[in-house]
Amino acid sequence: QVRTLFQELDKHVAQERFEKAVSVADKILAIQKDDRDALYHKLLCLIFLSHFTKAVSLIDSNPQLKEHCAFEKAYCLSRDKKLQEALDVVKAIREPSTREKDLHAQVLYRLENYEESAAVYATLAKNTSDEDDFQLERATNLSAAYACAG
Amino acid sequence: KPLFFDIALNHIEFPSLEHRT
Ligand SMILES: [K+]
Repeated sequence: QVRTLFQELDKHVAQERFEKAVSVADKILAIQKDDRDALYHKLLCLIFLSHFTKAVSLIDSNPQLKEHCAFEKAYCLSRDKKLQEALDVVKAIREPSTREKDLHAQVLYRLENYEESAAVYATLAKNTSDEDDFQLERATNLSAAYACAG
Repeated sequence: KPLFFDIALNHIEFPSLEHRT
């Protein structure tokens, strides 16, 4: 039964029917309370539905998500206009990878801390290869940070 | 306002559910 529900969840996600996907994830969670795959899929559905307050609550109420989803939590806080909280969460992440640095740079930008934002983008430019998918977008964001810094 | 991309969102992707289906 759970396998069938996961097939349904997978199909809804593939077709970007995120509301329906959330209700299927809830059905799985009603059977298996702490199912990691169901929890994580539910979380991402909430993010793609722009339900950022709900997404943060979901993370905070589940020890598994709380431990593994600092990046997602910081992202949701940043979209929920809780920028200082987002900054605190992203800065607390140990050994940040590219995605955490991207988030850090954009949170600093939204906080109008343009010099520090530019500095993080400069570090990213040094530590990512030309084949990285988002180099053009980073260059654009860096220009924006420089422009706003004046 | 200058153009500014939400790059972090691009790093959020659904993992495969193949092992569950
Ligand atoms: K942001």
